[in-house]
Amino acid sequence: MKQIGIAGIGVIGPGISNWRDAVAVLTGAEDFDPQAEVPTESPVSLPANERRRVTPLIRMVLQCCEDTLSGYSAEYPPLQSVFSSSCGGLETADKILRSLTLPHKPVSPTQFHNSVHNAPAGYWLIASGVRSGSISISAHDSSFGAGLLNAVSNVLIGDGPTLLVSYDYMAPPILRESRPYLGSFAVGLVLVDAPMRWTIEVDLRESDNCDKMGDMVLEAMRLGNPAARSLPLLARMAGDRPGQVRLPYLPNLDININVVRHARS
Amino acid sequence: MRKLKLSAYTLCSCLGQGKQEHRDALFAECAGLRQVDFENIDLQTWIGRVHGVEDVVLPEKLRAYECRNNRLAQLAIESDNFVDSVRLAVSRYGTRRIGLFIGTSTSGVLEAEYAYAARDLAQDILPKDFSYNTTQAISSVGYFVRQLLRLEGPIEVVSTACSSSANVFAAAHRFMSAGFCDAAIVGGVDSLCQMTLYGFDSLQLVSQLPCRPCDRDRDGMNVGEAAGFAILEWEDSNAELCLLGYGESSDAWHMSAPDPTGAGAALAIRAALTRAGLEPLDIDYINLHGSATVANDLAEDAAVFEIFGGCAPCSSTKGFSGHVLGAAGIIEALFSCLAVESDVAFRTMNTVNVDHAIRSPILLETHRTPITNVMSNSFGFGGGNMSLILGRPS
Repeated sequence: MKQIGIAGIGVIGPGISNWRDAVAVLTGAEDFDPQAEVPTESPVSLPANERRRVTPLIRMVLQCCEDTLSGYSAEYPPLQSVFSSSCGGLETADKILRSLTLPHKPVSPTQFHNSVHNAPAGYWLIASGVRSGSISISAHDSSFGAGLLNAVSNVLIGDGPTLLVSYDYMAPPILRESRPYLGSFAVGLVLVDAPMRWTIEVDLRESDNCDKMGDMVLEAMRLGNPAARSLPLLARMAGDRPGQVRLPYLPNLDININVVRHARS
Repeated sequence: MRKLKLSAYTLCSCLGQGKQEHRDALFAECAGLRQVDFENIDLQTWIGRVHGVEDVVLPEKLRAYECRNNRLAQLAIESDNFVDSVRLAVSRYGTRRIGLFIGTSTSGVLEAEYAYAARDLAQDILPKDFSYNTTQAISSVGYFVRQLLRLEGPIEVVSTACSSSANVFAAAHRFMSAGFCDAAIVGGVDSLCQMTLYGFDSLQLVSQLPCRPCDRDRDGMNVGEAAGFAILEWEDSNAELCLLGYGESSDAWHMSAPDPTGAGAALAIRAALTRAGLEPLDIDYINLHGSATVANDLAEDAAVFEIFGGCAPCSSTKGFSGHVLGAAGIIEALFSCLAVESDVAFRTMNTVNVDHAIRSPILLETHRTPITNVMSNSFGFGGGNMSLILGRPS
């Protein structure tokens, strides 16, 4: 399969506010603390009226987009986008579900439009002014891998550079038993049809043999948030270690990624 | 683009179960809407409720998936010998090489509504028998259908609000083009719940009457529920119905209101024509998104008129089915297939006086005419626009 270039990487997670922080953690230069706060800032790219309406999840996703695209020139072609999350805005759903148990069921209109699975995508599109196609998906715990397949397909068939963002945010207490995330996490990649420092080749393999993280705490994070299933892929690039990565997708179906490093981009 | 054959399809909505009941209702101009009679909802509105969903029983080993949305999915799958068609596709491609792409906006959230109503208030915990992952979770319907149809290939659930199950056609085409699968089953399932009814009501987008798309007196939508499925394979010499093109775009404007200029919608329509290699004059009928809200119908008309200049007859079928949200993309794509198969363009039900500001020709009567190519539009919250072109292969 054709090689696809990686033109941007972004990560937000516990104690991680950008790709550089992630590199430090993934190479062992810094300790990783899954209990650390997820540093999110107010999204300055949004108009003030929209900024007031965003949830912590949406803030995290917008910040991840910003980090991922920090080196991506505005002169490049407009980006297609794939937003991938196992459960999306659980906190918003929780608020609406509580409202529905009250007399007269006072659902907030802002909460209602924030409850759609593609709400983070919608805010990013407003903030960036990008009018290209955008898809928001879920494949439960395999959402990162499924999102990657969408983004890779986009690039392979010539639909242009594609932003992939995968994320899941801590569940509200009432849903933590169902979705026991270790911490909130978001990862972004820009995939392009051009040779970059890192390229990937992606295919499906009939196996149940996905890569794990050597570090126990990072392995707990990998299992503790569907978006963090991306960690073995990120670790190869952070540690300058080209090679094969297997990500879990479905029973007896793994996503196989050949990560190749090039001398210059 | 390389065309995709729709080798089988089925659907279920308030108009009935399976293709024949839909043909009958659409041709006889019998809408399926009724005054709200669901879950003690105290709103004044009409809904598109599917008969018999409550009586569906899931297979024993899939009981964990019991919820209205998955029951509705199963009800649709049980029609039109769809399971046999799936088995035929499996014999041709193998279980691992068929992708599954399903659109939904709210999945099984009704089950969560019951759970929250029954929660332990002192400890704030949900009842023990509530299973988030197999009901409320967006992915629930995908994993349920995957097991019901005994598929083992790639899967994803697309959730882009009201364009969800139009997007599945694009996703399937891409996965097949990239070689991740050789055929695909696409679907859309959305079911009635309080969240959408009270949510759209909070935005003042719900009509108290049967909805009247494009009417000068239109005042909002009716929420409905539906499920539809289709099998997609690469076009061959036996193809009778094909996905000829798709176009997608984003408004980048507002979370819940369309760009009034229709610029985003126009981008999607143009992209679909380009992919299909067709000109506006090649489109014989446009099945509008036509949600019957004041803003949507005007913005959509701005886009459609800019490109078609009034040359293609248009209608919205939401006066028949209600707005079936995440299922609307595929349901209206399948209505478009019925239109091609029968050479009938459907009327805009309930609409009497077309809004003078709307310039496209809105069909107020059922129109019998040769139909080769149909465009079907779906737009949603978050500003997503999808335009599909279905028709006979040339």
